[in-house]
Amino acid sequence: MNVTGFPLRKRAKSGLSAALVLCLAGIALLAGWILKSNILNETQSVLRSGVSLQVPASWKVQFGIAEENQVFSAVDPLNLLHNITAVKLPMATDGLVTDAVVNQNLKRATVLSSYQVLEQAPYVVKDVQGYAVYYAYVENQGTGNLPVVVRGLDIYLPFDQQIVLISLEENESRFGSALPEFFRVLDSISYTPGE
Amino acid sequence: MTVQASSHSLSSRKSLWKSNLITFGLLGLFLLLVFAVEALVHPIFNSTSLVITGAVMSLVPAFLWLVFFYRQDQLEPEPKSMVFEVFILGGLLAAAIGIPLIEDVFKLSSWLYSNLWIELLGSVLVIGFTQETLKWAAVRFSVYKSIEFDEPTDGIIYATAAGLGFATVLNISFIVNSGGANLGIAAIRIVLTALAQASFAGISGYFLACEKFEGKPIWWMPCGVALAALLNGVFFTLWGSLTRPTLTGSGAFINPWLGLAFAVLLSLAITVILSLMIQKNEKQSSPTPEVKP
Repeated sequence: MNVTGFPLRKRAKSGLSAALVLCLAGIALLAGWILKSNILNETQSVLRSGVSLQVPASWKVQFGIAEENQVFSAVDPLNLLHNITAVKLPMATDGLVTDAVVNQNLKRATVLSSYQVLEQAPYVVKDVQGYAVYYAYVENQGTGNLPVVVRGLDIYLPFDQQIVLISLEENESRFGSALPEFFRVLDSISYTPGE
Repeated sequence: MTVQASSHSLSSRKSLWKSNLITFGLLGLFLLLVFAVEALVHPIFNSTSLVITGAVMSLVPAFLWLVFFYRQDQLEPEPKSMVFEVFILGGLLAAAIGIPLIEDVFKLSSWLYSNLWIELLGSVLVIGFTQETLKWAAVRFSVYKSIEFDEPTDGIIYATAAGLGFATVLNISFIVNSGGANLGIAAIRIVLTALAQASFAGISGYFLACEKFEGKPIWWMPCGVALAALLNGVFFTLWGSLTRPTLTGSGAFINPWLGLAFAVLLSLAITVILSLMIQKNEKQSSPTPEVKP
């Protein structure tokens, strides 16, 4: 493009002004990033039946309505497939966590479409020896909507003759990015017997 | 302002204001037409044809403005290719930086709606600054130094073109990502986005022109972009509040017309204010005519 008629002094001043605009935009975006980080790191404390967890502040927490033995369920209000639930299960008489794992897998297989266990292995949280199960199933969201694949992760933790099951569920495509937050929630777990 | 700039009086650039007003009127007709077609013909679309229809509708505001601007801009015409280039550049910047930054990097939907104040602050800092800086950049780093950018209204003309390019890509992205939308709702959103993006860009364009022709201090342009970003953020927060679904006994109720009315009022206000300011600047800088004996 023709750039004649734009004197050097004016050009330098205008260049400085343009640099200032870019700096200002950079500062604004940095402030936006800090705002985002603060909000996403904000948590609310959920305490019920002796189980305490720190879940994201913006999530909606419901107590014991969806499932028998459910302690609570925390749902991302902008994405209802993304949720974390806590359930209390009875410990088998032999004291093995894997019994609860087998029972839960059988139960899920009867109620969830195409339920499949992907991987399972022992897992430790805060020195508590537990068990982790990765699974997937197909969620049919009603007529007019395509079915979606939901992926989940169950963490079984034995506390005081009971098993606390903490589960994450999320759409398959976003499951990987939901894991770090879930592990942060899991690290905040504490159990107070008798409550 | 230089004599070169002021030598073109506002009357010679009525083309801009006229095209803006004609575009306002025609966009109203476009909305009426879409609603009439929907009410009378009840068109049935599959998801692909709905996306294509929506994408074509997204081009309407920019097409109308460009056509009427070219037709009106006869006395001191801007090179058509340059206006079109800035329009394309605005769209490219939206697609390459604006949308990925806001949706993928900042993931606004996961945190912005925590409460009204967060929404307002986040909208200004992230949406406002990203969009207004990119629209400003589309003009500043292309036509700004050209000899064709030779009068104050040129800033507004090129910035409006960049804003419409930006809005067109935002609208196409919305239609494609939502898998096609209800035609009437889509038409309202398309018109609203185009009006808002073009108006806010017009503010930066005015500041750019003043910077070039009046030798404003270096803080002038950052203030202009900040003002446009502030208005952008406030507008989209209020628009979101006005059009958020309200739950009634018979289900969720959305009133998109309120948002549209808000956008029309805002665009008209910005158009009138910019026109008055340009007029005032030109009056102040007009050389006193010599009186011959």
